[in-house]
Amino acid sequence: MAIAVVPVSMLFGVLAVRADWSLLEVVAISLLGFSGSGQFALLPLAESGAGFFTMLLVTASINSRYLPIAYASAKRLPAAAGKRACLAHMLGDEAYATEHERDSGASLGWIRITIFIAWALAGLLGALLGRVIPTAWLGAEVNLGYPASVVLMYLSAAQLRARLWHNGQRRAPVLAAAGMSAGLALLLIQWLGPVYFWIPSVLLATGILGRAWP
Amino acid sequence: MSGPVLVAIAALFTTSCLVRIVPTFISLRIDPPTQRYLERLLPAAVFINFAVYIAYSEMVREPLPALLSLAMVGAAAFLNRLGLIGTAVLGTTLYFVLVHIIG
Repeated sequence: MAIAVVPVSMLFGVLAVRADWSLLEVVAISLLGFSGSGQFALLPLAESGAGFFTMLLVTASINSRYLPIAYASAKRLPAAAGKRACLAHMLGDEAYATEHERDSGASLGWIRITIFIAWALAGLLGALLGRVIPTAWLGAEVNLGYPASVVLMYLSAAQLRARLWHNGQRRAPVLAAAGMSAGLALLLIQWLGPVYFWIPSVLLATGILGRAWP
Repeated sequence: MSGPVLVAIAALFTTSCLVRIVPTFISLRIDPPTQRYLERLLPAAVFINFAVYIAYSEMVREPLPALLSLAMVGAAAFLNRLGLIGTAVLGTTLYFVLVHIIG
């Protein structure tokens, strides 16, 4: 899974250096921010000189999906406040998709730390490459983030199979509810956009699944 | 560090505190039905939205290649036919081949 985040973080490093960010700045935002979509969104905002609260509003909206995820996975985190805060900060889409409810705290820690370190190192590597690779070689048309999307789709589908597809359960209503939730999510993305659809869509899907899932 | 970049880093770190760290320190006394919603239904809802978000984000860029590739990946994962690496290689290859052929 850590390999899947490498191209995305490298791409961020390349683009950030092209936008005159220093290596230290790339590493700092990878470690302190640790958010692919958030980091990419901040590149143009920083360039345009947007203020703190504008940036906070944008990144908090983009990352609002972590609120329910963080709450749901909190009980598997260590009790010590420092370790708990660090591992909570290292929560990412890829880590959450990889983790399972039966995972121990140590397993969860290894998953998150591995992906976190891979993310930071790949960002640094991308920044170093961005300094030496000629612009023409970068191929702006190539979708370097696609492998990460493929892996996330696989893990999402595998998680849904594990959570929704139990033996002896009436599958048709659950599948219908999942399909209805997906359709509703698509409508909400169209209506509210890919940044603001998360909270209402997740809440509606939870309600729909709750009615179909005894 | 330059001013705007420093502000960007501060904004993203504050976001992480708000959406990832703070929720793990809040403990609520909840009844079993609510617990069922939070521990079983909410994660399933998040993954449904994940899948839709990923598909939407990629289909905006390359509609048909992304649709066919991600449908194959989702089906392979749901049917548990291929492993992660095999499916990822196959899905990514299918996408780039279709992008090359179509466009």
